[in-house]
Amino acid sequence: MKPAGRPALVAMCLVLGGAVTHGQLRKQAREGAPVQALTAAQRATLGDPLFTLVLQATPTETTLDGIERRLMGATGTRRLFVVHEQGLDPTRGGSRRSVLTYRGTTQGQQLQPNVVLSISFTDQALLADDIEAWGWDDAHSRYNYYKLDRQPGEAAPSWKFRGSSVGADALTPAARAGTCMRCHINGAPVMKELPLPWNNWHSFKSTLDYLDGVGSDDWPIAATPRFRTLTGAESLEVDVIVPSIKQFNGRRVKALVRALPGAAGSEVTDGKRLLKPLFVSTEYNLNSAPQTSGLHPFPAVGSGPAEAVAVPDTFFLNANLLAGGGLLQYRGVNVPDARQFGSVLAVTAAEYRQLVEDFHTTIGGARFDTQFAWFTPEASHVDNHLVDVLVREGVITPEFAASVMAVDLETPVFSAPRASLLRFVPATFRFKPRGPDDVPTAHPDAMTRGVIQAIRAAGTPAPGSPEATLLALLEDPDPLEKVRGLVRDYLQRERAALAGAGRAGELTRLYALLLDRRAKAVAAVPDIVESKFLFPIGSGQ
Amino acid sequence: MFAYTDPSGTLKPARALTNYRGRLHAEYRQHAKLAASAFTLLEAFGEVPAARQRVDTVRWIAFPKTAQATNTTIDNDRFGLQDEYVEWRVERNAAGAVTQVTFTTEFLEYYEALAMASHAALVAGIKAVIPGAAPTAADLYGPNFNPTTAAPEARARAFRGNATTNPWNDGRKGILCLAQQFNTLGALFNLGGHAAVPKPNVPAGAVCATLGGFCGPERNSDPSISAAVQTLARGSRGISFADPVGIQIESLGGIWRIGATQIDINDPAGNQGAWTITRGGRRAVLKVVPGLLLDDVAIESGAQVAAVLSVIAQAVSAAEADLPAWSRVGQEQSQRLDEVAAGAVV
Repeated sequence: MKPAGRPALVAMCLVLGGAVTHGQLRKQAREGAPVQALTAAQRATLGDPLFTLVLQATPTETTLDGIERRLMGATGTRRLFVVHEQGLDPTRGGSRRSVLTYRGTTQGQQLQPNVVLSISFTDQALLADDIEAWGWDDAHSRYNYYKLDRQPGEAAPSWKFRGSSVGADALTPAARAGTCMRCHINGAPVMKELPLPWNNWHSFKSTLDYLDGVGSDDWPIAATPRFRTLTGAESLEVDVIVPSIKQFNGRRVKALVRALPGAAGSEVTDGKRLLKPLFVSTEYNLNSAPQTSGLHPFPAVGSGPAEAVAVPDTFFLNANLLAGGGLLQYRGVNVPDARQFGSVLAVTAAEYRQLVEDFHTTIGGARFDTQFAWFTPEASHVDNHLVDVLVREGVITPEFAASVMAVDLETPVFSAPRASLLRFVPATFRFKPRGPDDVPTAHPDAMTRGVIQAIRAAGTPAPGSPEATLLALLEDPDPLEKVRGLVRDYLQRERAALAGAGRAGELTRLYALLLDRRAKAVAAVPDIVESKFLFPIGSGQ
Repeated sequence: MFAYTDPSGTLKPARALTNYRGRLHAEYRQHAKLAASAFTLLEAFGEVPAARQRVDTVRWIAFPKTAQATNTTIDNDRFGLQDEYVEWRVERNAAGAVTQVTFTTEFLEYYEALAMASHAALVAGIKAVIPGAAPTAADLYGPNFNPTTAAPEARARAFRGNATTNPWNDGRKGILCLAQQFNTLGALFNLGGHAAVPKPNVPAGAVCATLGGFCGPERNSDPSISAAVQTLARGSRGISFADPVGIQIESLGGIWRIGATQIDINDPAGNQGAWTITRGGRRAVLKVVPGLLLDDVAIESGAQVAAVLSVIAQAVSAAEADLPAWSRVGQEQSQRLDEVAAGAVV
């Protein structure tokens, strides 16, 4: 499943070999590639609910009714979520995307959060001959991706296995091209607009009135049974995406750690790969102020925010992981002041409108902005949670995690300086696994000492360089207290900058930073940007 | 008066149910008379064919979103922080490990209705929730209060006034009902009534911020309820809270395991007794059976569970045109509405 919207997928090649046999699940390596038979060995690796309940015995089942009947059995229930970057436009004629999830247990297969279908729809009907789907295979610790579509040479739509999460995080860009993994960078489900207010999703913060089954303006499809289960994105976040990613990350860590004999502890078998999410923004999520901009083109542009715009703390730093807690339930690294950034900046309605005008911000070529104001990339749940697991299980110390986050602290996502430091992580290292009640291994642990040694071995770092910053923190006897101090200093500095005569200049700097991060997000995962309506861009200043 | 259902089934003797109905009816009536509000009496729906009615479920997460605090602090500061119409009590063993978490969404008015019936009725009601409970009068009403000589309303007032220090409710010996300052029946009705005033120039999802003290925009619950009610109201539908009114515990999200085996925690047949919902969805208990894991993590706090706990409220609605004239927007001061509310017409 792609995370939002559905770009036209252009089939580049004809199916090789002429006639395609039906009656069995087949595979397609990438868009436009030949559709091929799955070998028995490949079929044996599939064990998710979609395969087990539907595609294994009845791969020719291509009707949505039939698929759901087999998935849900007699007792399962369905929920339907809706997302689209032009979702607030009630005009009929375009399409939107639905995400279908299921609850209950069918033939021993637990459905939530283990199977999801994604189907576009028009005002009249679901376009159910084109379905993207994923399923979690608990036994094999992997996501499997499937697509129901009609490729050139096919007389009717058919299901194809489209790849799995195995090794996804290590793929090159070329290897991702045309595959589901071009968006599912780590192999896990993606919901870009994960946190409140779920910009572009139907939610309690933004109801899609033409689908609510109330009033005279509804699309006809709103009256159909599936749309009577329309549910807000808040439930998709909590019930499906967040736990799915947590489960997946737990298995990723297990896969790259091996227990050593006796009391020797455990060993990380690929340090750079496992610790990459601490240094590199492998994915991102999209957050915003909870207030609307009043400048969104749909359904009609207004005159600006109705109230002050509260810039999220995660714009300023990685507050979720530094502080922990909250709905995501990270343990974090015990830097609670990071949360205070949530109250640092309330942009007045007049200021916000001025910024948008000064920067000539447009979305989809039209003035001005996303529905929710200050739409910003933030550090992703899939990265943050993995780091949280590493700390929780003792693979790395909280001191090490905090020190790395403190390098380029003010750039919580897409930090090139921080990413450059990954090279100092050892290829393998040992650690003492940490139980729930265990005290963390004392700083510096063996891995930290290895990183210190690697930085020193590369020569004396230039003052102020990322290497020097990290080295100073890691060599400090109490890096956590040092990081807390850095966060407090940053907080004080930001508050001062926004309090005095320099406020306008600081707002300009921060807004420019916001636009820059959007540009970096586009460059980071180009295929995830499904339309020009995702990110407002600026051309001024 | 509408025959409001006893949500938990323990309002005995009969006058306790009468008392409870009286409390509810006062709220329904007050908000049905709110100017320009599409909120109306449940009696109005008795005149609409069932097929012309619809029931919308509003769902939110129990975790208090506004609390910028650790799980431990949220657990320990129930009356300060647990403000999503859900409160909980955590029990731990001698080693400090969590053994059980009990959630409640029951309104205090429920127990007030029992207290008004008699002290004995209240004690019996408490024992129905906490078997083996032996509450003293001082526990329930505070010191120097004689429940046998006090008037019914005085007992109810004393019970309410003591709700945050009553050991059977404040967590020391148990938990009975909501007692955090914002988790009240009146707050729920205020929210529903005011959110039902159509505001077509404000997106439904942003209406909460226009309702002043009746809606907390930063919460999970209030904006969810206000958006749903507003959506119905602007669709020219009359609205009420479905009977029985209140907050129901619906389900747990997250991925649950006992040892290595994934379980459907919401399936009583398959969860090995780990999760039980009772009292019409107003109470639930998570027993931390050996090996129980949520998202691969042991249960360490109630807030951790609240972060995956969904609760719901339900609104019934019908097109204004289908509703009796006295219940429509603009008729809030009609004599007929007063007559219906007074029970003269059913």
